[in-house]
Amino acid sequence: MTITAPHTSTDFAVHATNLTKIYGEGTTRVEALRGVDVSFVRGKFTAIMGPSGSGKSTLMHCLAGLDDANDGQILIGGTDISKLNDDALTKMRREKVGFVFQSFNLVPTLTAEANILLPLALAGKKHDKAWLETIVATLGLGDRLNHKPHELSGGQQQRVAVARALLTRPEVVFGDEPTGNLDSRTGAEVLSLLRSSTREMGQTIIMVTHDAVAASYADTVLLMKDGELVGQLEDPTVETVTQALSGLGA
Amino acid sequence: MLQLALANLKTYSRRFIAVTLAVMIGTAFLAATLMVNASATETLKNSIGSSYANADLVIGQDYMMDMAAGDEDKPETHVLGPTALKAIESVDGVAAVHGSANIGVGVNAGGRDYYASANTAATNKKLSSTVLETGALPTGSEQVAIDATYAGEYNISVGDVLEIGTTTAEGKEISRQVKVSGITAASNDPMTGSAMNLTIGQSLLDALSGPGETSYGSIVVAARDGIDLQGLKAPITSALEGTGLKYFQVNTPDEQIVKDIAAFSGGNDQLTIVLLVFALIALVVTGLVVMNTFAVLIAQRTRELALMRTLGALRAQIRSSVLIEALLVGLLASAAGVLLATGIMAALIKVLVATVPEMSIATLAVNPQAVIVPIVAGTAITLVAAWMPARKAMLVSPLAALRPADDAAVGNKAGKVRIVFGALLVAAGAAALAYGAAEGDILIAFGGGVLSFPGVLMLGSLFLPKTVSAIGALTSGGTVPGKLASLNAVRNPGRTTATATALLIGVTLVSMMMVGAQTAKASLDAALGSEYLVDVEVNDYSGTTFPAESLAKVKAMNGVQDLAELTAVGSSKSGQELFATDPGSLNSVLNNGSQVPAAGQVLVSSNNEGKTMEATGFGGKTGTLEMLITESNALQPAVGWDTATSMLGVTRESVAKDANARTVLWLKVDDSLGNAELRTLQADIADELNVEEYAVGGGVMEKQMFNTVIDMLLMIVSGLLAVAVLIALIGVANTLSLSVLERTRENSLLRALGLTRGQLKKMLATEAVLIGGVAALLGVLLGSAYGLLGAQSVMGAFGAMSVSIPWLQLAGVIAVSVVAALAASIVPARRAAKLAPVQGLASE
Repeated sequence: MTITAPHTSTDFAVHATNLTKIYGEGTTRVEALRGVDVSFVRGKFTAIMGPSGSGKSTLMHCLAGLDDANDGQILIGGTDISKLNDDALTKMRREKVGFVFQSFNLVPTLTAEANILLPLALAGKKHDKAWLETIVATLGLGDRLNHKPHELSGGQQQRVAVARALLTRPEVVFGDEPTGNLDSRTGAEVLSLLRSSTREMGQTIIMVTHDAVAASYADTVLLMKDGELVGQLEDPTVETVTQALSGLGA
Repeated sequence: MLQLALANLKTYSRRFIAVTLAVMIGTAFLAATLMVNASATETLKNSIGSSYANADLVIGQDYMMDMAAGDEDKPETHVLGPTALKAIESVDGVAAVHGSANIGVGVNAGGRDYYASANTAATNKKLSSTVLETGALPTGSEQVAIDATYAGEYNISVGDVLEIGTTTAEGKEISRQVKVSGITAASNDPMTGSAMNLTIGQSLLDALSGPGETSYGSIVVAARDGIDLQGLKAPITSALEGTGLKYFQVNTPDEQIVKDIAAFSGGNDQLTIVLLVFALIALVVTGLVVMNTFAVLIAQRTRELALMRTLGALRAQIRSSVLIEALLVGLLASAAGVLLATGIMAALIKVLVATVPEMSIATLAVNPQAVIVPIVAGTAITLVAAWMPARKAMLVSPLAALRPADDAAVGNKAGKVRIVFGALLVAAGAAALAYGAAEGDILIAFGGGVLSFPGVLMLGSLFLPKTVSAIGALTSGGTVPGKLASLNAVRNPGRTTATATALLIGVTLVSMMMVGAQTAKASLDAALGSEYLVDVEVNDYSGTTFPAESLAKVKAMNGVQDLAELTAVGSSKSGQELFATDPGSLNSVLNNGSQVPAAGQVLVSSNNEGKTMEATGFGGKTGTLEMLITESNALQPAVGWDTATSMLGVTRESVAKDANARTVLWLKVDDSLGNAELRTLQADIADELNVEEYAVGGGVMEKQMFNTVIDMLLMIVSGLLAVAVLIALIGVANTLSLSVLERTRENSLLRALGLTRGQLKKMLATEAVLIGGVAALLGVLLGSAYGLLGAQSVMGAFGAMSVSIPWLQLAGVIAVSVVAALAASIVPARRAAKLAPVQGLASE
C-alpha cells in the first residue's frame, strides 16, 4: 500500500487531508469543511474549538466515520476509512474508535456494565478482565455496574461512557462536548480522567468543545472558523484559550 | 386547537398511515356487512315484488290466520276465486282487476319433458308484469308464451307446438296441444324464476285446472285515477267479506313487499347478526391498534406538548387537540372504509351477476344505515381508543419542555380494578366452560367463553410482557441484537401488551375454530364409525340380484377396497329381513373387525333387545340365533352362510331359485376419498348396477357431508377472522415503526458504537417476531383450550369426544404470524438502518 502522506502514518493516530463536507444545494448550500488538512499525534489529548457553525462537530463526525465527507482522505491507525463500505466502517468504529457524547451516551435498557462491554459484545470478542477492573476502579464505578442508566447521576453516566470508550484500547477516543451537561465539579472530574488516560495509558483523545476551561485540560487546542483550521495552541491555559477565541470573534 | 390538530396531522401524516389503514379495514368490514343485508333486501324487492310492482292494491290470502283459526279446511273462508274477483271489480273506484293464477304443468317439447309454471297474463297494462320480447300474448286455449331464458335453453321458438299437460285435484289427466305465440322476458321472481314460465290465457287455465274453481295466489287492483288508495281498502274489504271470505289482506304494493320480504328472508337477518359479531371483533382489534398508536404519538410529542403548556395552553386544550386529531383521523378513515366496502361489494355483485345465473338479479344497495353506522362506529372507536392517551397528554407538565428527553423506564401499573375484574371474569367464565363441557351444554359453555376471553385480555398485562421476556431470553442466543431485541420488546409493557393482545384475539379465535372443527370431525368419525359399520351400502328395495360381472366391475372400481354380497335368506319373527353372506368377505368390509358373526350368531342393529332372535328361512325352517348387537342403528341382520344352512335350512343354491331373492351389497372404500370422488363413485356404482343413486348410501357419504359442511364453515369463519388478524398485524408494524422513531437516538448510538446495519435490522425483526410469535403461541394455546372445551360441550350430547388437534394448521397459524411480523418489521427496519449515525444523534 502506498500512501502519499507527508509523515509516516504511524506517527499519527488520525490523519486527514483535504477534508471537504458540503451540506445542501443551491441557496441552502453550506461548506462545513473547506479542504481541511489535519493530523493528530498518537498519545495526545487534542481539543477542537471554534464558534458555533465553525465546523468543529462536522470535522469530528467525519474523522470518526460517523458521517461521509464529500472529498478527502482519512486515515485512522493507518487505515483509509474513506474507502470503506458501511459494514466495514461500522466494524472499524467498534474496534478502533471510542466515543463519549454530550448526552444520551448509554443504551437505557442495558446495565452500566453491559453498556461498557457493548462494543466488544457487538464484535463478539472477549474482554480483558484485568483491564476492565483497572478502568472500573480508576473511574470509581465498582458499585454501580449493575445499575441501569436512569439510576445513575449525570457524572456517573459520563464516567460509564468513558469506561466504554477506553475498554477497547481504541486508536482514538472522540469526545463531543463530553462535559456539556455536567456541573463544573463533575465536569472537572471527567476531564481529569480523560487527561490522565492520555498521560498514563497513552490514549489518543480528540475532543470538541466550546468551553475554554474544558479545552485547558488538553495538550493541544486547534481553532476552527468557517470550515477551516485557523490556529493552534500548545499547552493551553484558560486565559490563552479565551484570548485566542476572542481573536476569532467568538 | 383545530389548527394545531390539523398541523399535526399534516406534519406527521406518515405516522397516521397505519392507524388509518386499521380503522379503514375495520369499518369497511362493518359497512360491507350492512350492505350485504341491504343488497339482499333490495334484490328481493326487485324480484318478489315484480308481479305486482305497478298495481295500486294487492289482495292476498292470509295463510297464517286461517291456520290459527282452524279454518284451513274451509276454502270459502280464504280461497280467492272468480267470485272474489267479481266482488272487487264491482267496488266503486276500481278500474281493473286481475287474479294471477298459477298452475304447474308438464311440457313436452322436442321429445323431452319439462316442468313449467303457467300464469295468466293481465290484459290491463298497469296490472301486467309480463313483458313481451317477440310475438304476441296468447289468446284462446291453444296458445302460450314462453319465457326467453328457457326458450333459448330448450330451443323453442314462436310457432312451435308444445304438448302441455297436468293432473287435476280429482286425479284427471288433461293435456293440450298449444302453439307458442310469443317469447316473454325472463321473470325475476324467485317463486317462479327457477322453472320454465308459461303465460297462458284464462280459457286455457280453465281447461287445465278442470271443473274446480280457479284459485288465485293474489289479486291485483288498478284504481281509477285520483282515488285515495287507503280509502279504497275499506269498500274492497267489505265486498270480499260479503262473499264469505275471512282471511285475506289488502295492501299497497309497498306494504306487500315488506311483508313478503319478512316471510322470505328470515335467515337473512341471522347471517347479518353473525357477520356483525365478526365486524365487532375487527373493530375491537382496531381500537387496540388505535390506542397504541396515539399513546406512542403522544409520548413522542411530550416536549412539544410541554412547550404548548409553557406558552399557556390549558390542559383541556391539549386534550381536545389530541381528541380532535383522533376525530379527524377516525372520520376520514371510516369514510374511506365505507368507500372501500362499496367498491368491494359492487365488484363482488358484478362478479356474482356475471358468473352465477341464479344471482343475475342481485342489486347493490347502499342504504343510509350502511354509510352512517360504520362512520359513526369507526369514529367512536377511534375517539374512545384515543381517550386514554389524550388524558396522558393533558398531564404533561410544562417543565418537561425544559428537560432533555429522558428515556426513563416506563412503569406500567396495570390498574388494580382491571386485574381484579379480569380475574373474576376468568374464574366465572372458566367455571361455566368447565360445567358446560362436563354437562354437554353448549349455551353455558358459550357464555363461559364470552365471559372468560375478555377477562384473559384484561389480565394480558400480567402475562404477555413476562412471556415475551422469557421467550426472548431463551431465544436470544447470547447475541447483542437478540438480547437488545428481547429487552426492547418489553420496554414498554403496556404497548407490548396492547400490540400482542390485538393479535392474540384473532389467533385465539382462529385456532379455536380449527381445533373445534377438527375435534368435531374426529368425534363424528368415531361416532359414525361405530354407527355405520359399513362405508357404502347398496340396497335397492325393489328387490334385485346383481350379475356377477357387474359385481366384479364394482369391486375393481377406483376407491373400492372390498365388497360383500348379502343375500336375503329369510326374516326374523319381528319382521326384519335376514341376510346371509360369506364371513370372510364380511370381515373385510366391516369397520369393526370384531363384529363378524360366528356360527349360530346374527349381526343386528342397536334397535334389537334381548339375547336371541327367532328367524325363519325361506324354506320354512325356524331357528333361534344368538344376537351380536352393534351400535349401528340401521343394519340388515346378517349371518354366515354356514349358519343360514345349518339353522335356517337355506343354501346359496336354494335361494337362487327363490322368487324373493334379493341382494344387498356392503362396500369398503378408501378413507382418502374426497366428497367429489365419492359422488362420482356413487354415480358409477349406481350406473353399473342399474339402480337409482339414492340406493347407494352409507356412513361414508354422511361422514363426508358433515366434513364438507364443517370445512366450509371453518373456511368462512377463518376468512372473516383473518380480517382481525390482518388489522392486528398492521398494529405490529405500526408499533414497531413508532418505536423506531422513538428510539432514533438510541439506534444511532448503537450504530456509532459498532452495530452494523444488518444487526440493527435483525434486532428490529427479532423484536417484531418476539411480540408476534408469543401472541400467536399464546393465542393458539388459548384457542385450542377453548376449541376442545367447546367441542366437548357440543359433542357431549352425542357421545364420547375424540380429541384431535390439527397440529399442522396450528403450526401454520404461528408460522403465518411470525412471517407476517417479520414482514411488518421490514419497512421500519429499513428506515432505521438508512439513517447515518450522526443524523440520529443530532435529532431530538
